[in-house]
Amino acid sequence: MSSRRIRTVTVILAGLCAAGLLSPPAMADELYDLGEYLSGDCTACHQLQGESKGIPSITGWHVESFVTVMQAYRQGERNDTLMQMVAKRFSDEDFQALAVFFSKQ
Amino acid sequence: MNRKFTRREFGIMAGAAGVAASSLGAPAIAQGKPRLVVIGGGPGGATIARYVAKDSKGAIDVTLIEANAVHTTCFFSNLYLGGFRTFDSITHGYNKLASDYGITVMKGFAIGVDAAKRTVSLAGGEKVSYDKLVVAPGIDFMFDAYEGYSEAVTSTITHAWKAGPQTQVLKRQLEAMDDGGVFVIAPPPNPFRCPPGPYERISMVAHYFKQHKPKSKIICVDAKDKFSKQGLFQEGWDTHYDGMVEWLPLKITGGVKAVDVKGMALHTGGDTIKGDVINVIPPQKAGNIALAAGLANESGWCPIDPFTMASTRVAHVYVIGDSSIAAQMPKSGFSANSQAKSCAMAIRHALTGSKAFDPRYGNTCWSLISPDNAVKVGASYKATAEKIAKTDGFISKTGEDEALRATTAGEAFGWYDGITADIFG
Ligand SMILES: Cc1cc2nc3c(=O)[nH]c(=O)nc-3n(C[C@H](O)[C@H](O)[C@H](O)COP(=O)(O)OP(=O)(O)OC[C@H]3O[C@@H](n4cnc5c(N)ncnc54)[C@H](O)[C@@H]3O)c2cc1C
Ligand code: HEC
Repeated sequence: MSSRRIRTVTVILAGLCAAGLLSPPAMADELYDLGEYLSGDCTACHQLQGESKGIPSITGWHVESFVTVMQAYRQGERNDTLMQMVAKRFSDEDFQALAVFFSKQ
Repeated sequence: MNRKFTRREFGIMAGAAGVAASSLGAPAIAQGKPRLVVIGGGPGGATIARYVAKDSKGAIDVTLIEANAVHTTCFFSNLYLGGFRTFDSITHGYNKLASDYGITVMKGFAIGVDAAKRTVSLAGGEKVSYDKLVVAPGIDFMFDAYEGYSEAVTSTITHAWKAGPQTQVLKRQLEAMDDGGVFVIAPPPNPFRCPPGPYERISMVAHYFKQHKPKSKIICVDAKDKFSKQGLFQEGWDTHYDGMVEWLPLKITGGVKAVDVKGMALHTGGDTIKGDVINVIPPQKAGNIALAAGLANESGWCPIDPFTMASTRVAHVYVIGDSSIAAQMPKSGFSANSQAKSCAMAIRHALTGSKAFDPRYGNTCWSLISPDNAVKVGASYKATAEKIAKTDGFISKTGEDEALRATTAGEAFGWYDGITADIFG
């Protein structure tokens, strides 16, 4: 499947989830899979085991707060040049996928 | 699309000495699983073995061929020289890759690749078949770069640019040196493994000297006129190690021309620079197995497809980490780990038809100036038709306060734990 198609699916799914309408298991899996792949950008620093020495733990967060924090880095509202750079690599849909993945670790 | 194992190959493999039952489990072959073979268990190779095994959930048979029983990371080996990190703490085994991820870890030295038969041959005579092969051997050295220099010389004049016994020899030499002695370090020309590494080494040796041998000096005979994070390092040397470090750019010395082991000196264009301990980091090229396999071009490094890290020279082979030409990505452990994840995704897609996502590349390198003062540089990259191109980046600033630098040092320690868990499981 092309990544453009995945993106479209994710956008739709994120929209539906945000509206609280539905979360079909297959689509949720797809979002999780995207999040799992994207998480490779994070796991060089943040540990899936939730260790927080030197670099904060990002596992088990609420999806919404996770997305809000990532948006704040991307918009420069949270001050950390490193995380600002990381956040600029992603769309809102990607944040949603990452949030879902890390919330389940 | 997956290649079937023929009886003949199975026979060759199962019959090979020391490879039999444990490494080539009959079940995998009986089930006809596609097979990934990885040469090299460093940050590149171990990461890709782990990610393919983990994410394919058993659908791909993964074999990791590694020359050594354990891997000592180059990253943080300078901290060991600085005296505040143990050798054990930077040395990692492969047990978890085998037990938790079902990876077949073979101790062996790869000496050749037969691209037509798709086999790797090992120094012991064994042959290992693959559907896809990842070559991640790191670097090798150009031992003929300087007159009087050779591999034999490195027992006295170390490189310590592959961590392990070499790093231990250098540490012992520094410990044995008298206060007031001179440490000479000669960094290589570009491109080389870890651009800020020689200058972090200078900082860490200076830290050790300041504590134990404060009258000692460090002379850096560089093969370049400028270097990574230069302003940050030079500021750090001035504020932390006043007067101890003398950096000599290429334009002043003309660079190293000859190495004199007996006289413990380096000869440059015009001068003879004597040292009590000398560390020559020689010019570099892709790991020898990558050259033997025909993966390198005339530059000595391996061209790749920026989207998948597939070799542009040999089909079904991928090159990741220091050996690859990843254009603007520096040769770092972070880069190798990042490339491995995108390449793992591409290989799974090729072998099992799993989803293909866009490749993603990033890097961040911390350098310690003192145990509680670190600086960092980082960048994002994207694959384009020609190369892996930089899209964004940041770097620490000169004049930052000690508290920020201490936080940055804390991040470096957190990163080490994170990335080694990501590499070795
Ligand atoms: C002093 C120093 C400090 C550094 N600091 C940092 C840092 O802070 N951050 C950072 O990101 N990077 C750092 N680096 C760079 C980093 O260590 C390398 O970029 C990284 O190790 C490259 O990984 P690799 O997997 O390509 O190769 P390697 O780490 O060299 O791994 C290759 C592996 O392959 C094995 N091998 C080689 N040939 C064969 C063969 N023929 N058969 C079987 N096995 C084989 C080797 O034994 C080795 O285990 C530093 C390097 C140095 C020297
Ligand atoms: C190079 C190392 C590195 C990488 C890669 C990285 N982070 Fe971070 N992250 C940090 C550091 C350091 C901080 C602390 C920054 C600060 O103080 O604001 C942080 C902070 C965060 C926070 C806020 C934590 C808190 O407690 O406030 C979140 C959320 C986060 N990162 C998510 C991610 C995600 C998601 C990724 C991958 C897409 C990622 N990070 C990749 C180093 C990294």
